[in-house]
Amino acid sequence: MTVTSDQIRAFVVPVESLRRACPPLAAQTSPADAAPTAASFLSQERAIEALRFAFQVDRDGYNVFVLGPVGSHRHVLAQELAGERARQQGAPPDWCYVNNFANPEKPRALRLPAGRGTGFRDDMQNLVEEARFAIPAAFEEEDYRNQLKALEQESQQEVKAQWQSLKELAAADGISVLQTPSGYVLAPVRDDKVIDDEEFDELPAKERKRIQAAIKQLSEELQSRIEHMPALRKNHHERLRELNQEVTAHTVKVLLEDLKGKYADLPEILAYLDNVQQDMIENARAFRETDGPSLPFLAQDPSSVFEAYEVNLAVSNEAGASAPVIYEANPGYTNLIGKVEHRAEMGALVTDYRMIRAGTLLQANGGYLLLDAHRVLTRPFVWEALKQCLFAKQVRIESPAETLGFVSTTSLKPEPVPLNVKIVIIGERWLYYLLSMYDKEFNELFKIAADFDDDVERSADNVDAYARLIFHRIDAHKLLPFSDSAVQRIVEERARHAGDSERLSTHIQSLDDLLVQADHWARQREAVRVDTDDVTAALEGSERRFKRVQQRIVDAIQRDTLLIDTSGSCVGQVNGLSVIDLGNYRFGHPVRITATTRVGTGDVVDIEREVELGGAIHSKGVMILSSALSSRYAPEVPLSLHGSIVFEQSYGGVDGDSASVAELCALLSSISEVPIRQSLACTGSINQLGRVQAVGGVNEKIEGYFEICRQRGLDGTHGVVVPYDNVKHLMLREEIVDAVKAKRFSIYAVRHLDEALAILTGSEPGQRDAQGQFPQGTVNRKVEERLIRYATKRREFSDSAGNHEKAE
Amino acid sequence: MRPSGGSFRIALEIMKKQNEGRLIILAVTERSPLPALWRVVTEHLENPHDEVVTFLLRDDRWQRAASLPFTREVSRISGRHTNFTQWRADQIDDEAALRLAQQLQRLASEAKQRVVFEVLPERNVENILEERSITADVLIASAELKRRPVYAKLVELRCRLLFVDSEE
Repeated sequence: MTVTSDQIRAFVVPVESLRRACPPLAAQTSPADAAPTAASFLSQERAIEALRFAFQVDRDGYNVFVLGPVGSHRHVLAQELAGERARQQGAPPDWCYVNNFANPEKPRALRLPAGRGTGFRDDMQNLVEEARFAIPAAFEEEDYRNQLKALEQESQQEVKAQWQSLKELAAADGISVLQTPSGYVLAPVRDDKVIDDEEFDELPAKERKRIQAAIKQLSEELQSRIEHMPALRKNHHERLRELNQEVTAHTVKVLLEDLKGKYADLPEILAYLDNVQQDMIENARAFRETDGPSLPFLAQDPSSVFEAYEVNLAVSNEAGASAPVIYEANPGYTNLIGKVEHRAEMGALVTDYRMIRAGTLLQANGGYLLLDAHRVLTRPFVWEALKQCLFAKQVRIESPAETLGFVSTTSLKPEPVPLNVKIVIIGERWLYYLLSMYDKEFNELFKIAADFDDDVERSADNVDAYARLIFHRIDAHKLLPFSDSAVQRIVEERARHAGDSERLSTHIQSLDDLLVQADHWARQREAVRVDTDDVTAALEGSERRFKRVQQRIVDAIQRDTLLIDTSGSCVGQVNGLSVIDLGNYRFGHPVRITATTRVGTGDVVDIEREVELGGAIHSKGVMILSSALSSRYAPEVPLSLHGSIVFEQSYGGVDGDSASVAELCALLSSISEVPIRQSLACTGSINQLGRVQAVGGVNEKIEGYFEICRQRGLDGTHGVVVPYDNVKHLMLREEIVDAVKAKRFSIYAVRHLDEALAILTGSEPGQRDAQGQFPQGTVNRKVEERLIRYATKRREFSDSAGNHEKAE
Repeated sequence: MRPSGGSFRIALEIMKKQNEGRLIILAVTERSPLPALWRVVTEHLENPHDEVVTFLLRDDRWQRAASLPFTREVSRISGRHTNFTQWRADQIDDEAALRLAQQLQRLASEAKQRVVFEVLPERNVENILEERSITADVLIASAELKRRPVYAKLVELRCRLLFVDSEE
């Protein structure tokens, strides 16, 4: 029972549904009308709302992860919205690192209002310059020199008096104090001459005893005075130091008076200036020693003392400016966190607080920092360090080796700086989901997800908005003006890019590419305006550049290396359609699917799966069609079939279930021995009830098959069977639309397996009647009868095998 | 440079016989202001053949002090006591002599003048001078020697005597 052409024509998709043309634009738009950047992000309301919400909530963990495909201008939008919020916030404070006079290994971080850091740094530099002149000058004063002389005389007098009194004490006992190179010897004298042992022995015993006792007593006195000498010297030095400090203190106080007045509103700075004052007083000598060391490696350079008062302006913001918005393109550890640099000196690496360098985390402190997720995750230690900073709400600048305890050498431990920054991480969706699932801290720190839509509904309003977006991008890239028809053509192309006639792709990068390339072709022909032909040239040029693989496949088909029939009929063989995705370009091409059947135990073998070339979804599709087969045709008898399905000449992996309708049709053809028209190709997935469901890449699949048929010659028999639910996705090339219009090619939309069977076989599939029987001569009847025959044969075979066993 | 009265006398005699120039004797103690004395010596040098013989009158107070069993040296730095022994007395004498010899050598080199340096105990010097065999032209001595027993012998020498005050 054949189906009539009218019956088949009922499934033909109307021409107007094959490509939804862009209507004339509602209003004339021009670059002057171009909308601001944020507004140009059509259909990203969800992401925009999420970003604005995150930027407004000033709480811990309200950082954002922007999810979306590369090229969707996520960075632009995030940066735009962060800037919008930043302008309301004002500049955050400046941060300086200064010497910690009490503990130089732990430099201090000082906060100043935005814009005052530079002034403070310059003020301190000037202070040192002034001190270098003012302090030595104070020590040249007459008054100081007189005081110093008096002090030294007083000290010498004291020492002299000590010795004189001792000598007199000794002389009274007839003892002389003799000075040796290293000390003193107390010896008895007579007539200014030291007594020797013979003379001593001649003395009366009482005198000898007296002399010995006197020497002993004087020795003790001498020892006591010697022990007291350091104290005398110390006292002298102390008084000298006090004098120097008094002079310095007075000078420094005068020098610092103005500075303290200037920074009177900043208690932290005042406290630091007090420390500076104290340190300058204590290091007054350094200001007086103007000559450098004779041997630089033996003595400390006096200028290094002055360096201790320098200010390392780590973060500088402009007063009255907005909060910082920074995009860190290279978020390595040191770029992000900061570092302590070193310089080589006499073969050793040395550092000080002036070599602390703030990373972008500190530069963006009080504002917004944008980072790329994959870069943050792939740079060593960065992700952990970032989380640590966000949890601790402070940035501690240290090397990763120190953080991990890999080095034990002494280095600087700069004071941590409080952190209040909004982090915006931009990445692809899978990264977000991975982090959500495997990093428990991630959700705590990144509470907001800004999810970018890939496309926008193609409503009339949105088309106009999209036209404005196009003009904005034209303006942004300073391109030639585009004609309305060119813009319409681009809108249509964006629907095609979305793979849906009812939606428009919001992938900005690919839109920009198309606009720039169309502009190029217009300029090539020295036009002043980009027209439709330029857009077409850009599209074709882009396709040509990527078409090598597709061309090779088409050539292989045309040369019968890859076997595809586009005419005639064949049992158990159907043209399926597959899509190859090359990243920036994807295309469809036909693939021969064959099925064979025989008596068996109810198995439908997916050869792709058996050889591990089939993916899980493909296997699932085959299992579904197997179930559909048994439930539809053998509900009351055992399915005694062994069928096998294969993608012929397929040497790579196969996945997806979009061929399951074609596979089932091939299987049914094999069972029923009803041939399938080879001029047609088929795509669509099937459920267990025989319903044909939508698949992806329908435009590319149709175009792929059309190309083969076009090259072989269209005769009106060629066409493609697609799921009805895919009709809304059709945005076919105009060439195909024209071929359909000329009835040289057809697109059939089907909802059910029977409809696909009818079109592919040209035979009536048949519906069960009241008795549950398919009509005689229909495809379904033939299938059912064949399956019953298989079941009978199997039972007969089983019985004969059983009898044979019994006989034995 | 150990005390050697005999060698000193021989040195004087040989030098006197060999040279036609003047012989200047410089007598110093370990506390003498050698640069000041040398300045006076150079003032009296008349020609390249003039000879300078320096003798250091070794002060025997260290030896005498060391001979007493109870004398102790007290360190200037720590105040610690140690026995003042003969060895330590010799060491102080030797160091003083060496220091003077080096200082004299430096001064003589600067003046390009040959000089003989001898260390003599004060008693030996007296003996040498008693023989009156020394016929020096000039004897320059530190003024402090005026207070020493040797002074009596020095003034009897048949030469010009110059005592240089240490204040100079």
